[in-house]
Amino acid sequence: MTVQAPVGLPEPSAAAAEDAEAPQPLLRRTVGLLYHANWAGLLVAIVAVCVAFSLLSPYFATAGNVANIVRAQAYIGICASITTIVLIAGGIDLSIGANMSLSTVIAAQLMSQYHLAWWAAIAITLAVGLGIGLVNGLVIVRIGINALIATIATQFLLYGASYLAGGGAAGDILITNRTFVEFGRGMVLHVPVPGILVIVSFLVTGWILSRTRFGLQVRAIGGTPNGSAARLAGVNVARQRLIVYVLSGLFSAISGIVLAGYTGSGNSQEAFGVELTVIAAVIIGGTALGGGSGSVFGSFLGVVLLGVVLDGLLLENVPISWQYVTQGGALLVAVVVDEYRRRSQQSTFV
Amino acid sequence: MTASDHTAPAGAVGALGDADGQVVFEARGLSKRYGPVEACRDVSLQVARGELLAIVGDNGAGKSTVAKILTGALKPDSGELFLFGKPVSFTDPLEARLAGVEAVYQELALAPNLDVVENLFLGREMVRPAFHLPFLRRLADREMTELARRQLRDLQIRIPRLRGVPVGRMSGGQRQTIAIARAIFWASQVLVMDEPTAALGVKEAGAVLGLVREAVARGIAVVMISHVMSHVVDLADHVVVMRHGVKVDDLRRGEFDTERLVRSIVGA
Repeated sequence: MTVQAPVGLPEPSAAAAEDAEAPQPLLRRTVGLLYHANWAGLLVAIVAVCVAFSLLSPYFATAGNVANIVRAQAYIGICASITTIVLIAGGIDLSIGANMSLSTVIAAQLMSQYHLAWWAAIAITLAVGLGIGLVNGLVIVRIGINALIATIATQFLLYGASYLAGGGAAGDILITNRTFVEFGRGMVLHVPVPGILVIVSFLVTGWILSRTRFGLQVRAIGGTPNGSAARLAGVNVARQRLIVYVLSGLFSAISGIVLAGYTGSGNSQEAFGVELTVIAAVIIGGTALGGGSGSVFGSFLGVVLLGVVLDGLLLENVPISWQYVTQGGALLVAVVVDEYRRRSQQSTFV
Repeated sequence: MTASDHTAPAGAVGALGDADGQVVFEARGLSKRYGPVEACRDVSLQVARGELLAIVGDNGAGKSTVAKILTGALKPDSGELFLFGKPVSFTDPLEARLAGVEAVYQELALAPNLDVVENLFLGREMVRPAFHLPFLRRLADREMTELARRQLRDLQIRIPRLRGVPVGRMSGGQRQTIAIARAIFWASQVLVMDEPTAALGVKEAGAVLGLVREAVARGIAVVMISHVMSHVVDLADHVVVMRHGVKVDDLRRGEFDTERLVRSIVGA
């Protein structure tokens, strides 16, 4: 609970193999990584929850239900991958849920109202999401507004915009395009398409974080208040932080497209409050709320844990209000754990 | 390939290879007030290539103010800085660093969550094409680790884990060592250190001082603030003594010993 792993995906070759002074066998390295990153605890929790729900419900451990979990949680997963980077950079983006909702409405409207092809609808939706990220980034980085406040503001703005984009209707805008809904419901070789998209987003963000100059600089920025150490080292802090928010906007739009495909509709409230679930999953996965440390693999495990719990509750016919209680409780537990991690780290950092 | 191969600004270290004694960094008439308090008044000093200038003085004598002005962390009310005889003015420490004036502060210098190699290369990372795609670049981890390992071995710095362990979990001495090593690594012209051995144990302080000596031997002009007289007497080629914000003494090697310095500091 007290120590943090180096950020990013595990580095089997670079981290330890090159360290000739201290060669470590693969097994010990893996165990060490699990311990340090606290992934072992998460894995145990996931297995325990799975066993418990399997005993409670005969439907839980079926291929059909697993595919259901994947489809239902995919949009959370895609967003969690990029939110890991946002938090590690010392930022926060609370507008992701609203951005997603707007994306579902835009995609749905473009196809049903304007009869655009599915690919054109997707391209425009992605462009809008990216633009929203750019606006967030400019307000936060250039004007210097606190990220929490700035993205709450854009959140309200985007919910209003989704409502307007939906023609003022609060209900669902149906999506009938069969190719489009495949992104949320389709199967390729018995694997749900959204599941593939989740894996790809985690691989891409993990690679960016651990293997690229941008990822290294993002970690450095999150490591000290206002990225002072990174700035002194010559890192263009403003530019990199801007890119982080642009990526967050883009990934939110991708999540929105997957969500719209899954539900087959656009709705201005479709992803209401999702940002808190996403952030809870990321923090449960070991990323520090204050920035500087974390891993996308941990976030992946966090998403799986939350997804499995929510699905199990659903199968047990637990009322929706209790699901909110569970999600809120999870977020609370996560931030408490984060606070303890932060304190124990402070003492190490002197 | 050595570190100086990639970074030495044109005409800097290489061109001056045989010009020991040339003044690298000079301050003329530095003054700084904080309201009614005069932190320093009309302080001038110069430091030459391969020379260690120590600034000594009692608490509140203005040493740290001068160091902050030299490294761009503070803007003087009046006075000028010259690097290789050319007037320079730094708006922040980054500008100073890019010009070749490196500051070693314990808290500011390193990103605590990055490992040694990442810190050494931060802002100057080596990259190579990724997945054979011309537009995609990845960190050249192997090359950076190898280069860092070789350079640190060269400097006789022993840090057990260069990768995977954040420097925040290392000792103060190791972090200080890494910060100084980075300055040597990137062939800075001037190294300014404010109390580099404060809060270090005897053994760690010894290692840090050994590294400072190495930096001087490599031709870096070093400015060191210290209140440990034995370190100053051991290392300094040149000592500036400050009292109440004013330079009261400017002594060359041979002109000072511990007793002389202490007398000058307290004004006896």
